[in-house]
Amino acid sequence: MKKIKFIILSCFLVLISGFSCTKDEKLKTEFNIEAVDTGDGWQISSLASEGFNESSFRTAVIPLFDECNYITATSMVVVRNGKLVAEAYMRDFQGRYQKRQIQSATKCITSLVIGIALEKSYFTDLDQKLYSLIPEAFDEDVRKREITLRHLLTMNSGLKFSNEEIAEELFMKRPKDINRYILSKPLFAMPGAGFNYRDCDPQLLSGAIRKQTGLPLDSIANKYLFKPLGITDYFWERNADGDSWASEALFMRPRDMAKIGQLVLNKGKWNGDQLVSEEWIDLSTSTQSDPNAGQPADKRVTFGYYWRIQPGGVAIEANGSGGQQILIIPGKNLVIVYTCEPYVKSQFSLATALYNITNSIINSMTN
Amino acid sequence: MDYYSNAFYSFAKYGLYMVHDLSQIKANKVSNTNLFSLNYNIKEIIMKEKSSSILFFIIGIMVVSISEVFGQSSNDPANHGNFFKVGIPIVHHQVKDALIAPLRWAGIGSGLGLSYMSTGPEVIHEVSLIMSVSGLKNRYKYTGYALEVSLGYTFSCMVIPAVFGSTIYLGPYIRWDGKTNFFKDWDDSHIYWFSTYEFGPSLKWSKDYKEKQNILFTMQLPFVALVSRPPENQYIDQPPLIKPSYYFKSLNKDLRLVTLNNYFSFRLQADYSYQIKSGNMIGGSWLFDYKSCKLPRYTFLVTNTLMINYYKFFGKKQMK
Repeated sequence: MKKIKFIILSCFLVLISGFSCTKDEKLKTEFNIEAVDTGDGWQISSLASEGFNESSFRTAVIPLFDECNYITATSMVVVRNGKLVAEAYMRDFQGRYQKRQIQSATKCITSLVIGIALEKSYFTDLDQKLYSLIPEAFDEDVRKREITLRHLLTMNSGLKFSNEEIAEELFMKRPKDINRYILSKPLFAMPGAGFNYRDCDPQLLSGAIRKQTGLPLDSIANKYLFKPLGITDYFWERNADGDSWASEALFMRPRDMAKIGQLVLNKGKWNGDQLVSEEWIDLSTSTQSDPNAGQPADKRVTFGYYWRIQPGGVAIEANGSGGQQILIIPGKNLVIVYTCEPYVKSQFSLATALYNITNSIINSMTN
Repeated sequence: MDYYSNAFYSFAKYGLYMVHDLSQIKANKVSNTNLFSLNYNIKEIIMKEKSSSILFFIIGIMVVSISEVFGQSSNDPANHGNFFKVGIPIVHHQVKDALIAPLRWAGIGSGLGLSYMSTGPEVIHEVSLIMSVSGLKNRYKYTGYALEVSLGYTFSCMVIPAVFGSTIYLGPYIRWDGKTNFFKDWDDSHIYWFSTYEFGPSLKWSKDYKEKQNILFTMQLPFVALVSRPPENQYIDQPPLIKPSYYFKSLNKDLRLVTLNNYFSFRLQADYSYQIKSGNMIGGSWLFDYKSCKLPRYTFLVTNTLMINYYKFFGKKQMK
């Protein structure tokens, strides 16, 4: 009898243990690309009305719902002729209400805010020296006093501070005065000597704008950019100093990212209001740095003021690590937004793979 | 037995007061609160709602419940015995966390289990600590790690004596479970923790076999808990590996008082022990831990632990 009891007891325990193995559920949602009117300011239209072959379009974006190659893709928004024609949230149908970390695409928002600040005369011009704005952050190396706003917008400061070092030093050691910490780094080249992709240069702009306006970058963005665009649900992280992280700490909804893209496509206009000057849009989205000068012209990607420009200017992009993209294709009157898992290692990043989807979307156009 | 009945009644009564107190706060002080989303930021409660009495009340329940019963049990010190338990666990850890991706991450690990138990004729005091490290993997072979620490105290008093060959104990427990997950390939910039302080009733059922063997079942279900989870949007909160104190701070950041509406947890445990010689026993344990929480987004953890134990007795009388 005792043996039977023992066996029953053992079976009970084994059963509980067995049932506790949870199911590995499907990660992606069912295919759904229908654009929905949520009252956030977007006008909704159909794919066919805006010049897409619906069937080809569907075929083009199906891979985003794939659980293998595009596993980390989380959302896509397509806007044509100023109207939202398709949106997909591959993880969660509620994804349209979720803010996504847009990573380095944040820099392009910073660029827009600098344009606004210039127009509002918070800065004299792009050749204004950073030293005239935040002298207290500089050390005794007088060469650094030559750094101008233009140098920072073109990632030309010459400061020896790589992004890997930033991750380790700024986010882990958390120095009290970030501007002073960045400017304490030695120069590896004279300011203006050459483009070098980095996060520290936009960050210094964040310090400068706060000094001039008395408000952090995100507050200026909210006042002059986000509110007029109807962007209310966002999160822009600040550092311990109170400065916004200007390079990569903005969380936005995908539909709101598309508004930024449409604003640039409209040369700074939104609903008839000129939020950012047309001159600034033209300047910041045209080639200012040419780090790939040796490459053939048809393959040469250049940079504006943080905007990435495809060869021949066919597309302007705000790009973020992992596959965050705001793609503006002026020739097609088209804006495409993608978001992906933001922190995956580079081998899992969709940054390049998404171009295949974009090409297929463009090919699905009938006009 | 009358005394224990009274003690149990007191315990239940204070529990009801506590629920009543929470309801009052919810009704009177927390506006715009959904009926089914009773959760408070503990700092807000203390600083803004000025209801720190809730916290003291929870502690008070434990103190009062324990002290009322403890006095009775200590009358006969000759029956007391203490033992120390060391165990080597094999842990199967499963986690889903919508904060990162609602994928199932699972893996096996090991660690160390320590326990000190003081037993009287009708009461048991137990302090236990389990620490483990598990490797994690999802279906795409993305890897990660889980670190777990569980530190708890359980007070049990006998409610049904060994009339039918088994004994049932009931009493409160309080436990801290600090569970930290690193998703190495998917997100190597952040840690995702799930830290809880639980308080609730603990039920034990004990049965001796042939004077040398014992089976002990334990079930614990929290009344209330304090939960700490990472923020929904986290950017610079990268784990500074150079500062170990960061982990303790994170695990206690923004603790929120939660109830069954948004937090559910239970623990089942079965212990088998066999006396190999006087003062020494060996045995095995199976421990099943389930936790789910909706803050800030849905997550759950399931842990199965098998443990090989060695027991060393102290005290005037050794247990069978």
